[in-house]
Amino acid sequence: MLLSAYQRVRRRLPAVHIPYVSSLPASQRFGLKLIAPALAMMLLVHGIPVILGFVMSFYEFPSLRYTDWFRPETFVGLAHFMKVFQKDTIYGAQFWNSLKVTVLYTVGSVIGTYVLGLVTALTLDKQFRGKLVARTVILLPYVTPVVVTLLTWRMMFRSDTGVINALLRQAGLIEGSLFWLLGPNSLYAIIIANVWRNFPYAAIMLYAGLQSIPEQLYEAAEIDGAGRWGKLRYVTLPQLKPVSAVILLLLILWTFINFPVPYILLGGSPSESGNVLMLLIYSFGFKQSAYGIGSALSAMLFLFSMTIAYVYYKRVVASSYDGGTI
Amino acid sequence: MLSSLMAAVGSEKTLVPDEMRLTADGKELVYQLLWRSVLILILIFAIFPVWMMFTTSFKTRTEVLQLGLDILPTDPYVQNYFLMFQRFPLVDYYVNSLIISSVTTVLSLLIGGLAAYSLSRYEFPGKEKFEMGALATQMIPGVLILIPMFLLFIFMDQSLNIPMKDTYHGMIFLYTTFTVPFTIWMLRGYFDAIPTALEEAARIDGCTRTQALFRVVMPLAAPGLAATGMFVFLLAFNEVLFASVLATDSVTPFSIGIQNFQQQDQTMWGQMMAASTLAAVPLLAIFVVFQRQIVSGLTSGSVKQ
Repeated sequence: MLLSAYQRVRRRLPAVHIPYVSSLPASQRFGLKLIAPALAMMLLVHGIPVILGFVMSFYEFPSLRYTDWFRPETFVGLAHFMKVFQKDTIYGAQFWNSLKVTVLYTVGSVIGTYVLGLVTALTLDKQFRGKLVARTVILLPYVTPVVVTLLTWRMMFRSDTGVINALLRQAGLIEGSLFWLLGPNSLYAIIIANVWRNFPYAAIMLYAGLQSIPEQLYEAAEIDGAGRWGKLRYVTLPQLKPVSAVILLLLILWTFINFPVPYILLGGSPSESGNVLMLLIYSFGFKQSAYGIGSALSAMLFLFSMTIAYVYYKRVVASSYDGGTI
Repeated sequence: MLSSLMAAVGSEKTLVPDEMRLTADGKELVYQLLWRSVLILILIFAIFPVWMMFTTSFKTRTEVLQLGLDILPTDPYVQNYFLMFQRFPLVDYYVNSLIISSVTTVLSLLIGGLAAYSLSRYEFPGKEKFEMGALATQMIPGVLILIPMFLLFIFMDQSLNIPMKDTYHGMIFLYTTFTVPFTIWMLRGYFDAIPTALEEAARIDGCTRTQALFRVVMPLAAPGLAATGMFVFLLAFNEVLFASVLATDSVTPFSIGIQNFQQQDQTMWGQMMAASTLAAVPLLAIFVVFQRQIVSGLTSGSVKQ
């Protein structure tokens, strides 16, 4: 019905002639027509703000009258970037600390997520009763609304009456209470919550990867005298390399620019050890109205994550699909 | 050190006397016990926070503040589920979220579906660039867009008189764009799996290209659309960053509104968890029903390549 309505409207509209496009064969024109809405939206919402963000990082903005932002008063050139890079300014100190925290957060989360995901996938690959139930339970962290689960983690991490401290006390690992969401432990808190959130994804992807390994490889390894460890070491892990490359790439990016986990667990103004770059930029932009500095920082974050993605893509993903060695 | 230990164990040296060494059956038993207990630990880890959310929603304020590891709520305090509505307009938050997320899902599937179909079937100039661009948008940190977007929204409000901040259409427009690249990526795999012969047959029977797409291909891709739709819905439902800045007044979604239970001086954990449980249950139910499609949808994108 919608379709015929669309066609009725379409017939009344005059034919549009775009110089280059009109000369293409009909099928190519149709293909272009189909991507046009997506392309237009992406240019509007991704293209323009990204360019604007870069431009803004070169200007000083009237912080109190932010509604006049499109009349920026002073062109400051690279001053924001210089401020950020100098370790002895207040901005610089915060930036370098945040960069360190973000890298630690990413490395810790990605290693934790991948290892836990791999172990989960390996155990799911065995034969046992209730496999479907186990798979459902394992996917719970991934499909429960993230805000809801993060608030639950926040509750469990409370220092005085939180269940995690209570469990640790029961196990005799600590005395008194640990502060999880304040001070040096906040980094561990966000890593744990992030690992919990993402490991089902890694597990399901790796599980699918395990299923696609041909049985003959294991049989051949068995003939060559490989035990369980040998099969894992020389068949399973190498065969999982391509899918692992994709998973690691996605996990690195997702964690590097992750916002909800630190924001909901630690709030808008976290301790130094949990002040990841995303939170730092957020607080520059929306707490201190320092849009110039905020834009400069996010432009750098963008270049940084694009570089990681590109290098990784070229080095690992592309080469592993061509059958090369990682 | 570990490797030398492994070597000692593996090399059948007489570290352990023969009669104490495990038989093949014994080894198998130990191995079975080991991986099964690992699996159980992982399952506990996965379900524990969800379970805590559920049990806490039945606790009174004092019970929440007491130390206690009771696994089952002994004396369920159901009032949380009623009191929470009095404190904040939770229903409004939830309805806002539903409106924003479901319209986003429909639009994203439509726009992303068209583009994915185009990428799957047609060749056109700039195709590679479009694909790379769509992938690259997934790597843009939200804050880089957020600051200019915030200022653009204010600009449109004040200079062009088009309200964008704190409106449904503003949020839907943003979320649709954010989810379109993801939709394209996921749906492309589904379209690739549908044989082209069907559309060719339809074309011979006199369908236009558009008709072939909507009458033949789209119905066949329905399971894929359902799975992708569920993810888009979750993405929109879960969004915090943009919502916390651009949707605060009349269109506050659930993901922002629920944080109101956390006040400066006290947090209503019981009520907050009750609201959380209510929000999570429908989504979990949908997940259980569509599990197969969702799992295959998740994995089809990258494993197959």
